[in-house]
Amino acid sequence: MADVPMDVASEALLPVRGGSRLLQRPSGRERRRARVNRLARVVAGLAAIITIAPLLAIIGYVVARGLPTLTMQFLQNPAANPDDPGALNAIAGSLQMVPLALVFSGSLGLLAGIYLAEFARPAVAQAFGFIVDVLLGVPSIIAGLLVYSTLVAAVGSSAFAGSVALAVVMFPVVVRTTEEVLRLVPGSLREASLALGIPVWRTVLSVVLRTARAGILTALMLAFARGFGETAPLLFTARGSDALNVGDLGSTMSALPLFVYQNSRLPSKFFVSEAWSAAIVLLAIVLLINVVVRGRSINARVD
Amino acid sequence: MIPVMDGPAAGAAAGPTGALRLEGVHAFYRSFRAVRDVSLSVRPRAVTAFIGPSGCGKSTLLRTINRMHETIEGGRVEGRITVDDVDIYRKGIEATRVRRMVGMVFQKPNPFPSMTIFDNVASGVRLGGVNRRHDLELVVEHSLRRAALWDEVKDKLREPGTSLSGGQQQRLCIARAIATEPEILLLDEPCSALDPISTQRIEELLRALRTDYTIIIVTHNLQQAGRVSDETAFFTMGEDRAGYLVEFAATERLFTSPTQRLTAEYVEGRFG
Repeated sequence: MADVPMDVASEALLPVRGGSRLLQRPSGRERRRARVNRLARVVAGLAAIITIAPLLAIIGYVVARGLPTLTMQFLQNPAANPDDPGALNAIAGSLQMVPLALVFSGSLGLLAGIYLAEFARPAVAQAFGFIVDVLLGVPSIIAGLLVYSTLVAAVGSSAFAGSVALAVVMFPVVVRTTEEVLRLVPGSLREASLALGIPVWRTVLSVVLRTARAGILTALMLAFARGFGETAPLLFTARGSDALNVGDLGSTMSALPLFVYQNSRLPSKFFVSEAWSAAIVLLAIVLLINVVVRGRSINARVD
Repeated sequence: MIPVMDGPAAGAAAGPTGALRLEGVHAFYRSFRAVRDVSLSVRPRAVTAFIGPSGCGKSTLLRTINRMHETIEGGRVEGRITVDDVDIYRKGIEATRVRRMVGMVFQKPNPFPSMTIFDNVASGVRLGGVNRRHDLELVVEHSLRRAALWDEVKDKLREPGTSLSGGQQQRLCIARAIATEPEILLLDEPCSALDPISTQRIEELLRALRTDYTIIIVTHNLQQAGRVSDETAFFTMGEDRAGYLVEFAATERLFTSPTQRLTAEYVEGRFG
């Protein structure tokens, strides 16, 4: 019968003579092991719950605090609007500076990642990789200071300087992720391509990058999310601006994180509440990108 | 009796024949010598098998023939290898050009996963400047037919190459390799990852292809060497761990009456 339970079946199969050792009562040792096992499971489970608690708390708290002022006017008016100030200046600023920063860091970072994964000797790749890791760990305010002391000192505060500062922060993310996804492309594909008489540069373009394109897109999206959430690089560079600035990269410009920071310091309940509303928008966009990337990365692996 | 093929001189007059000659070839990985002093003349338009125990350098030697050995860090070749009497390591000869004339099929089928069946076959040809849709279609169909795969894939050319079975993937790789119209085809243990039926199909294919290509197959499988090859080269490893050529002869002769003790022991299964 197909439905015979496992234990019955095995009893039928194994001849049990008098006292099979398998049927003896569990020893004290075995019982203690079972208890410890249960306890460890519970503790590990609790730890897992605790790790996701902060995320849920952040989302819940931010939404609760920011929802009242999250209106259509909030999304449609710049902060400079005297009747009904909103955050359009910040939303528009983020959507200009971050893509521009992605153009800078993405183009340069992709090339650097390709160099590290495909062309550098192992020792060089390791040394460069280490430097990139250090760069990845540099506090983002230092990136802001760097751009402040060079670009801003020369030409003044501007959205362009803000983009450059963001690019400095995003660059190592692109390099590292690109390098990693390119290393996942099996060497056998490079060999197959080279053996067809396809030159190295073309092998990299039409075989390696093409195979890893999903991963490359992931690298760019992760960098975008990173830049989107950064405040510190913009503090001394783009500075922020209450007026809506579209297209004037030579002037100051706001961004969502900057808006949150600056509004939260204003002596008005309304403006502080607007900071929370901006935080909702920021959180939603960054989480969305992260969810899309993580969801993709399951399919993004190279087979 | 089939008459013995014409010598390389006669062939040269009639255009390329895929005549391959190795003269005193050594292959190195940095300072380590993996292949020592191999000289042999491969019969054009025939199947030659390279056999020998693991580590005897037969794959390394194979990779010197299409200049793939140098793609490995520290890979270096000494000696002379000529294809239709032209030294492929001569200064000024691009490795890519050699590789288009000497195709290669690897141990594990390696179609490009990001490309369709069609694009896989067309990948090498596109580089040669063939980009007109119609021309590509002709090349792809011809190559797939030659690789005995056309009937199985003609209705799904737009599907990824990796959607095929292992044996089909390997024939796809053969189609991809012959699409660039090489003179010589190198196969590095092409059946070791395949089941017996797929193996048999590849072997039949090799017998059919040898009228157009000079084929060299590295194999661990002595029966396979016996079944598909016209000539066999037996390699083994010396005390310095460098592989060297022990005996090179018509396959039947090598298997039935080897002149070297080592060959006899190997084909009788006493070592390796």
